[in-house]
Amino acid sequence: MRPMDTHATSHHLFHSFCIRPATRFDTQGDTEQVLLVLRAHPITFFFPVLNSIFFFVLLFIMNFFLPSFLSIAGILFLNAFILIFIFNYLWLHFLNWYFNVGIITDERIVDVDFNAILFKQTTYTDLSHIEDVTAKTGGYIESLFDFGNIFVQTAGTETNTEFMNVPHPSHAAKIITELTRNNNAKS
Amino acid sequence: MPNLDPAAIIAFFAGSSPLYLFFKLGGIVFSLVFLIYTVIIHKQVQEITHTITNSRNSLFILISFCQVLFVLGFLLFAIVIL
Repeated sequence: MRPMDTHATSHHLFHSFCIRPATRFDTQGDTEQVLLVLRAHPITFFFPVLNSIFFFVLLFIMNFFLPSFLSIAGILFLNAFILIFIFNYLWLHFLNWYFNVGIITDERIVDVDFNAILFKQTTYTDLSHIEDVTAKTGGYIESLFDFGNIFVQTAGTETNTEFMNVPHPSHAAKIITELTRNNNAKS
Repeated sequence: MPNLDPAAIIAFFAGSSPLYLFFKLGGIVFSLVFLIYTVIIHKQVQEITHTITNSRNSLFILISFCQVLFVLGFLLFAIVIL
């Protein structure tokens, strides 16, 4: 039996730790199966949400003083503009979170990085090239919410893969190690 | 080519104070820059959804498109009503 064969489809922590999800990526092979999809822990949203609340409160307070300077149309425009600006700030963070994924298939590991949505970097690592998998957790918040970083070291000069702030890093590292071991045994 | 009458341009920005003119021009410029930005984000979301495919992708494209429409509305609001 292959590793992960006993795992049913499940999504944990707002889709940040998905086992056998219905997700595909552009270079996926016909027989290749996505076994695990990792995203950053949802707690990483805390500061963007806090900033948005701060700007929302600031806008609310500003509305007490605006009628002295602006017309009704001006106040309406400014409020709507700042509100959509706050929404856009949250939306951008959400897109960054949702599409920065680590995908583990039965053949390889794929790390998709979108920086500020504008820059894209995709790293593919065959399971047979994996030398070492390290899960690192440190700090109060990381320990409390059980999230951390996974470093996948590859042979030779190939790029090492990193999954940052993912939930249950030890469990994910165990899955990658099992898959690598199984793949090496087959070959 | 029709003559550009300075009085007509001044009448277009028919505010009573420099603050009003500054606000209107600021609104137009910021809306224009924000519109370009949201169009780029919409294009990038389309690109991302080609890279990673799942059932919610059409929702993401729809939300980014709605954002473009909203900001286009702001631009028109800033030019015509403000």
